[in-house]
Amino acid sequence: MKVSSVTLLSITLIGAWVLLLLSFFLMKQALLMTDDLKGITIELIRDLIGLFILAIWVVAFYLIRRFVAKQLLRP
Amino acid sequence: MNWINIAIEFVLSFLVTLVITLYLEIVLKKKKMTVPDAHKKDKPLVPRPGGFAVLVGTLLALLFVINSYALAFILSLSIAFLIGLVDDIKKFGGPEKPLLAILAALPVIFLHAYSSTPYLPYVGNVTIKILYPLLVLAGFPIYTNATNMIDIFNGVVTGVTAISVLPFLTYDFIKGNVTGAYLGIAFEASLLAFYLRHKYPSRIFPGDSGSMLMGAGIVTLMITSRAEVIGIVATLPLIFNGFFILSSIGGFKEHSELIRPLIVLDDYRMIANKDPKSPVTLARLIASQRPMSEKEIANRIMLLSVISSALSFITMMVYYI
Repeated sequence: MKVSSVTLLSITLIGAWVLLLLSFFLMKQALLMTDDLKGITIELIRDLIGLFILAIWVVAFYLIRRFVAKQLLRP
Repeated sequence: MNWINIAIEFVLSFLVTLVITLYLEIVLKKKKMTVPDAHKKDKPLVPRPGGFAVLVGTLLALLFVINSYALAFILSLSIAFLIGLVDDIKKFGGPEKPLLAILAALPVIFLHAYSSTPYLPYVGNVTIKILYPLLVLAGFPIYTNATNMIDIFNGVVTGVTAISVLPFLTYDFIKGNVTGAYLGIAFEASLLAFYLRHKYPSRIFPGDSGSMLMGAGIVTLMITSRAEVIGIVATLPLIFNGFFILSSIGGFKEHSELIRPLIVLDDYRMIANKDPKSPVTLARLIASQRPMSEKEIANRIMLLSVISSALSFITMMVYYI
């Protein structure tokens, strides 16, 4: 069954949304592991975890672009 | 929250923007500051830039709220507008515009109109002291260029911005964030008034100054309202379009270096260019299966924005309230 481009893009948006929420769940788990740390170390680790989550988003958006382009722009 | 002031601000911002837009249409036409509307038969000349009307309409927010957040909002919008205005007159090269857009973030940073403890779904409030200001600096080039890149069809950038602002404006009202509500309502009213003249078929174009101002408005409101994730979800189509383009062409490049993503047919409908070297844009993806008119593509981009805003409302209801 061939889906329309807008349907596929809408599904992709929902997928990206779920992924964003999952990344925050992952962030929560990572922060829980740092509960025992104190002072400057915890602040740095929080920033690093934030950076890691951003890196996940960039990779995910890149894969999403590859996926939709493959589905819709195949010659 | 004073609802009478909110209503006055909405009406004032709406009317001022509409009157200035109508005035600009006449003045810009007289001064021959027009550009051809490329996707229409006979390519009618449309006055540009009209973003000044949105700037003045939004400035009215300062009548009702005077604090560092409002000042940062107005300064950021003005700087983004001025950078865009220079671009309207003398085109910037590939990476110049995003680099200059960082300047629009400086009022938010120096007036400290942000909190480095954002609220995140599942996580709650988390302090990211070093990363947050860097994200503020990065947010302005990202959003000003994202709105600039989606401004290719009649009404799209104004419509998408107006739709995207709604979730965090609602959040401000629910949370009783008075400053955010006043700034947001002035911006939204101004966008709605401008949309009346920018929608298909456009009587005026916002220009790069207008589209960059809209991007700066989105990101400043997101930060001042402390609704970062709500804002990111609401603006996913903007982020997708900008990210897809940049990642498919490998960075910021001159327009002249790029292969057109859409092919305009004899009947002025458009279809995706199948050349793998042309940039991946939302419009190219939407028109990939059959030729579409400009209005059809514009409506579909706005539909995606409505879906994103709906997801943003769900995020707000589940995790924020």
